[in-house]
Amino acid sequence: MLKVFDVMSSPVITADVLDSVSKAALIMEKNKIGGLPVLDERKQLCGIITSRDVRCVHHNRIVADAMSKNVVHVNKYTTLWDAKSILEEKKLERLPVLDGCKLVGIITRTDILVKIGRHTDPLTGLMTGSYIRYLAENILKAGNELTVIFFDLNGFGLINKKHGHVYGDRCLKIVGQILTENTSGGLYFPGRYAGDEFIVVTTEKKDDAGLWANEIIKKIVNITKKNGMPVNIAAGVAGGRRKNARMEIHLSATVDDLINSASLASTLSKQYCVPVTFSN
Amino acid sequence: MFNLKSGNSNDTGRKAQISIILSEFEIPPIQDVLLIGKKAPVGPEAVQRMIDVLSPEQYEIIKVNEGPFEAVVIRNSLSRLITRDKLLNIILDEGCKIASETAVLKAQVNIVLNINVEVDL
Repeated sequence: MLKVFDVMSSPVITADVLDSVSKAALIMEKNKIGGLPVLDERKQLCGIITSRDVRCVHHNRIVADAMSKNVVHVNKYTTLWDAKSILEEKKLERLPVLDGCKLVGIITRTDILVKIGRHTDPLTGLMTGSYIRYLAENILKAGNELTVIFFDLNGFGLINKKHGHVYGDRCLKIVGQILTENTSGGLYFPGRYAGDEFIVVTTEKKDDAGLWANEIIKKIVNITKKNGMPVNIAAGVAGGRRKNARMEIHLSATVDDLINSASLASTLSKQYCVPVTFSN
Repeated sequence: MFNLKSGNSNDTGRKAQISIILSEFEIPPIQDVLLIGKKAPVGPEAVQRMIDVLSPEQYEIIKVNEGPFEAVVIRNSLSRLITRDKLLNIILDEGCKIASETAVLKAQVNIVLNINVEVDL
């Protein structure tokens, strides 16, 4: 799971609360940056000054009289997606990053968008496995049911060898398209896990998720056949059997377990030539 | 004050005349009230630090958002004679009529209490 500290700029260029505004402007210009976190006499974060603040006040002022005082900041362990949500919600461009009370970095909207962009699979347009993991953790965090469906294309290596990788890529694209088209209701969240493996997380119970997966497999088989590139796919379903509220503290480990179980169940589907297998 | 006297064309050298005016530095330098404009060269944080050093515990800084002003500094002793809000309203009313956002105005405020007491003889 990508955290803020994976992306932030560190060490941070800062301004002192008693620096002049013109000095802060000079630092920003010299380093080609649009804002500076401000540290007080105890070297604690007490504000942020941006190039806009500099333009709006008299250059003779001290930074303390030009900065924004209620600084929105994040902990270095905040996920990138949470940081992105904060930036969008508060309409901000940058967030200072703290480790406890100590300023350890700064992260900008561009840093986050570039990194998240890397988590969109360019071939299928689906999100990557790490994004789906983030969603899965959030589903658990919100106290909802979580079911993981793992799809694995049968004999995809042979398809590539027999027809070439361009053909194989087209197959993957079609599968991605079918998953996208069938997950618009906000109940199922699809992603490309790796190579020829796809993952979908949902808040639906396992039986409903199994039925949905079965329908998807039928569509994939039919559509790829119509397109002259028939593909078979197997699915494994894990989770979605909770009767009481989850009490897990280690959400990440729970998500790992569910993905693993769904993956093993999809292997059983392949072995027994059935479309969907439920994990025990 | 520093003046340079232009030299006579017949003089061989250049001379400078120095005039010095010594006066006492007023402590505190802001008198009774200071009105700080939103775009003034000095802001309330800087003034706060100045009064903390020069005249600790003698002034109060009140953040305002009225007319061109960002903050008003009032001498604490005035608040013992008239309520702070009443004084603030009067000062802001008058200040708004003449000041711009870039201004820093200092004001001297004299409060005279007239007291008439009747007593039985």
